[in-house]
Amino acid sequence: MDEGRPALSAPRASREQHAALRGWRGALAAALPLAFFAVFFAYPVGSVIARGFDGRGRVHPGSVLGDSATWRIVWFTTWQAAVSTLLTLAAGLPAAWAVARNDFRGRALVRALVMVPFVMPTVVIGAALRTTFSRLGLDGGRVNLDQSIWAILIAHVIFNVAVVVRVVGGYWAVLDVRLEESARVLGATRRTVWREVTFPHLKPALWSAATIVFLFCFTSFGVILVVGGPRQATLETEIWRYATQRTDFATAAVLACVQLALVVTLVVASSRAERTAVQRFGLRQAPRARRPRTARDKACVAAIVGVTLAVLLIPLAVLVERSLSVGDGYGFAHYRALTHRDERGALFVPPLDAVRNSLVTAVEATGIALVIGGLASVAVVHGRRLIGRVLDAGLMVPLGTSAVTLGFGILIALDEPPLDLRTSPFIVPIAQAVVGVPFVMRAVVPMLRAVDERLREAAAVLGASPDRVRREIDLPIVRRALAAAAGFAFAVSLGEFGATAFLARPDRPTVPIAMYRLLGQPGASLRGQAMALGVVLTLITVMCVLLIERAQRGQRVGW
Amino acid sequence: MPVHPGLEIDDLVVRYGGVTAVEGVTLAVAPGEIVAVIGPSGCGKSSLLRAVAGLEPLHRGAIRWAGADLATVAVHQREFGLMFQDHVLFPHRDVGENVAFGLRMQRSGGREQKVRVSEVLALVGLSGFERRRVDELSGGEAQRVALARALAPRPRLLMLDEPLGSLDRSLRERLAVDIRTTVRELGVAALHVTHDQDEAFTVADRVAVMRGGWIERADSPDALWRDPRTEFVARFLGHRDVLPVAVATRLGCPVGASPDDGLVLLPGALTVDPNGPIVARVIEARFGSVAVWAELAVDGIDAPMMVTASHGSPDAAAILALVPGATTTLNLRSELTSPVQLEP
Repeated sequence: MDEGRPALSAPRASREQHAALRGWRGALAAALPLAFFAVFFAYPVGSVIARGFDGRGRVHPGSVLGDSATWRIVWFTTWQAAVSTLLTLAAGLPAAWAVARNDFRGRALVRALVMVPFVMPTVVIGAALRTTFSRLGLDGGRVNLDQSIWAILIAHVIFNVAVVVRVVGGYWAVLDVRLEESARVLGATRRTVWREVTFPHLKPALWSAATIVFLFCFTSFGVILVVGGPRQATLETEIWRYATQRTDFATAAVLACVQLALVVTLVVASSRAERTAVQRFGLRQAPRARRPRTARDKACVAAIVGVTLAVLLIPLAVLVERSLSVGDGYGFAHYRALTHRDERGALFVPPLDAVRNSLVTAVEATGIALVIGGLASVAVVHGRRLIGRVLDAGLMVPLGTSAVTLGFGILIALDEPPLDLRTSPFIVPIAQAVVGVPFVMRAVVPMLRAVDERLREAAAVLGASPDRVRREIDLPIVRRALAAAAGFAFAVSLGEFGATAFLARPDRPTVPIAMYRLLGQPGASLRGQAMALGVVLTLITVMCVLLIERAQRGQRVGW
Repeated sequence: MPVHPGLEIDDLVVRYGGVTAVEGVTLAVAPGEIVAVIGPSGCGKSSLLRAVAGLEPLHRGAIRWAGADLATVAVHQREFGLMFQDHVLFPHRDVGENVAFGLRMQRSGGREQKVRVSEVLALVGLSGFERRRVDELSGGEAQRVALARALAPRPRLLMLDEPLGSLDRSLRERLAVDIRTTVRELGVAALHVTHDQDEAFTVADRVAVMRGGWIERADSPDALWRDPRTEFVARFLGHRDVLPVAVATRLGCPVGASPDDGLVLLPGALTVDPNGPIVARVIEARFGSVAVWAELAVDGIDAPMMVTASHGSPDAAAILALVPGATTTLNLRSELTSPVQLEP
């Protein structure tokens, strides 16, 4: 037994949990998320799989799988995701170090700014990047990045750097500095310290960041559609094209199955690799970040922060500039135009309606995601172990499943009684909540797990019933995490494009949908309006991020 | 049979999976009595405490309060207080809210709570600390707040799990006295778990020594100290010199016990005496904070023997005069020895 904390050293599994959920409450906490998951995720995705292989389609699944074009798409999807992931890690690691290990004025702001692109709608990022290329003259002549693979890679890096900074930086910040210092004192060079001490400790975080980034890039939709244009085809965009433009559901379904199989394989392999890589010792000493002391350190931090922010924020600056550019001068004409419906029929409603739609939808989606994700988190941490495992794994799957497959599935599965939701105003928020639930759980589960069991025991001994313990101990401690989770769910909903593209009714577009439609029409004024819409959405998103940051301040790990 | 008015632990067994942590412990604590459970780490003392609190399921046996079995009484209904090793104060609440927590659970009124909180804070010497944040407290203050929090709801039984384990020595000694005074004043039954025998002796009326899941011996500190009865208890209490009876007899210490048994030499049993019968070679002599002491090698005994004397005594002067490597003679005072059962 450990001398220091005898009360803690009892084998964990055998200890009674004093917020343990048993009986009907436990059943409810588990049943609601399970039902939600079954109806709005498993059933639709299952329908897609069934549709792919039921033999009713015009195309035989075998012919799709036998087509070399299919495998070219698979190959392209995979390697662009792999290269994007490597580039993102390379770009994110220095920034993770700068933010996690160094204290400098404006650090909180830098952390928030790095987060901005991640929570921004992919369509906005894509539009901003394309505009930036044309503004910098990189869309023709000797250098043409527009609609190139480079554009996709750059967009993916900008979008995902935050994942590396948050996940790896979160670990890095709680990695005990004294481990590195004692290695240095023992005579290790900086390089040896990195190889022998720092890197092995960061490995699990690197794995998990790389997995997340790869999944995002593998199933990326808005970025490829907007930045890559019709020339760049990934599984995700092809599923969408076959389903919506060619109405060839069978081919779309087969492609979705291929994608699903690859994602599941990847997730299983990666979680196995991650488990063997986990080294938890030496964490949680919560060392303070220090001000850079040597001139060299200062220069490093300044350069890293400067370059990172420039790459992330220049496209946004160009977006703002373009939204204000009218003819040869500047003005607010594009913003004023948002209140009018365009006669040429790009949208059936004034663009500003899309903002309202987005906000209403996001509030609804956030509410659903919080309830489902919150209950599921409690069930995962305090419920029976088997149910916990099923929920933990099950509700994380949407994170790796393509939004397009989900939207497509809901479209073809929930279209007949008793579940005919095609015209329901709640179908879009529900689909967005399915995407948002994993984010809620990622924020809440670690916090719930981190609540010291002895705090619950102390409360129980002082006379608090299990329900009271949850209310008095768990809830106040997890409240910050819930606020952050709400922020994430809200941002995810605002930017959700893949599923919404299938499900939003033409007269109720959300902002990303409206932007995509406006961008697809010729005419400088429509482009300007799209930019203005993007700026409005960006402002809302930034406010969201600032709220998340506030909520997370003082938390040890989290992203 | 009359009903025991306080806590009764009856043939208690606690298991984690296949591992038995507590193996048939029987122990009673009367109201107003402070019982300390001591033992090396891993002996099951914390598990015993957790089982009494209701935090561990019982494998066998019973825990009763005033004759009533607590098997079906949940943790939060037992009206026991528990003070953890590193205080486990609620980080999201201030000192006053921490102390008031148990009172709120009892649904006592706001005014009453306020009065009681300031009362117990005064009791532990922290008057006016109500609005302090718990992360601003020093280690000793946090332990006092934890004690106040455990005492505030007027528990029937106060349990202390290594309450001073994480504090430095001087603070530990002072707080141990404070805990005893406070608990005595309230006349509450208390069960105190620690691995430190000094702390146990300071705080408790009765001390139970645990070993491998069961209680080897339970008695008053004085009786335990002077008559540990087994080599394990003697050594755990800090007695260094335990000799087989045969050796003791050879040293000129006549004992009535059977020759298989041993003899524990209490501090002061050996003295430096020019006329003593035991010849010893001096290894070293040292000046300690409580006493002076010397280690000496005696023929026929493997471990070095210890001679101690309190500062200022004539014996102390004799010890400090010893020169390492020199030979001296010792006397053994048989009234400061006690027969013990040797470890196999």
